[in-house]
Amino acid sequence: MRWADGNVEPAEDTSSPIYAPCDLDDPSLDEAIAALRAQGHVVVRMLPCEEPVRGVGFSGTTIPGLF
Amino acid sequence: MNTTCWELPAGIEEVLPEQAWAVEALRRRLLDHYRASGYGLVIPPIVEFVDSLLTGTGEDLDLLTFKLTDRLTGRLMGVRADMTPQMARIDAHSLREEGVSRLCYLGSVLRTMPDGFAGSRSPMQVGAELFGHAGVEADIEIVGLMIETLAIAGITAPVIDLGHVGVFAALAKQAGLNETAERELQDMFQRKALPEIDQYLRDQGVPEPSRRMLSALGRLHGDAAVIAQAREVLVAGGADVAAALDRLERLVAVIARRYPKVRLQVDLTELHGYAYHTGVVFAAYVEGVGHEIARGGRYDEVGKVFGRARPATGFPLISAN
Repeated sequence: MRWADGNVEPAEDTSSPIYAPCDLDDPSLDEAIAALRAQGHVVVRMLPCEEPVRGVGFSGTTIPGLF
Repeated sequence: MNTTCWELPAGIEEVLPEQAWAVEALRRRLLDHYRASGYGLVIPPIVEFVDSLLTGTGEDLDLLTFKLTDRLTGRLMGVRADMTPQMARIDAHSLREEGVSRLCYLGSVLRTMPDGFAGSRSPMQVGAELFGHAGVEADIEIVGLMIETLAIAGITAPVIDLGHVGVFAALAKQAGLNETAERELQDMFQRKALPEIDQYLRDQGVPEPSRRMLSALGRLHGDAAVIAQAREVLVAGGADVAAALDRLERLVAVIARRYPKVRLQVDLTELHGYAYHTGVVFAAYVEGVGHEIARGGRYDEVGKVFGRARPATGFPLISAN
């Protein structure tokens, strides 16, 4: 699967959480998160106080193109 | 032969195969969703010492809690009537995580009295708590998760009541009400006893503009437009009232966009749990059921009695088996 912006879907492995940004005004982000969760990924919507986690484990830890 | 030996106590149910599988299937779907949302599952004990079970948010649970004496220690224990106080204890003592903690739970609770007419005394309770973040983003996440929980359970178009206890708290403080008067007035607002409120404010000698604003508060409920009305009517309420309305407005806007099927109602006198709630509060209703099916809110001081006060928001959802 590819995102509309051309970024590639995170790794199929669902064992590591994906950290999504906390943009409250981006409907496409809401849809992306819902789609990933429906595929079995753990997607944590980062709160402003939470540090983004980059590259921990593998590419599935962030939504490509959104960080 | 004892002809009553197979009877179960009133409000205590067993779940037979067809329904039990349905309950189990729902349980799995809910927990899968919480996991996918980044929530850690905890399984609190069925019994605890009442010292911890009935503190903080548990203070209202005393009469609902079955109690027994621990034969090992002689201390009084209680069977959990609500798992929310246990979550606060777990966050404060068992986990003690730095930063944000997202926790979910699902299990049976036991109550001395049924919740409502012919209600269960041994319902299932499911819920989620988010500790460690004071911003509106956490309120939005928790309200959203509650709506998603209801959707998974087949309730796709609930009515969600949203309020903020900070509005009433700020107005009561501004009016100079003592603790007793504040509590009595809160009870009247909960009962929507508007004429009684007007009379009470006069009897208490509450000065203008506090009297006018508190009197108007009882009429500030309806759709999202209520927030704009509140800004006009409560303009003399000060910075705390304005901040509470700002937060409510943001919450309503994001939830309305993300969950268009949900009907949102704003109620500034939604004061359930006023003793421990500190911010946004919410409740879910569904057609045909005369009481809320879920409620929750922000209770930033919930961990204080366990030695660790920090921001918290969450919801429990009770379901009859």
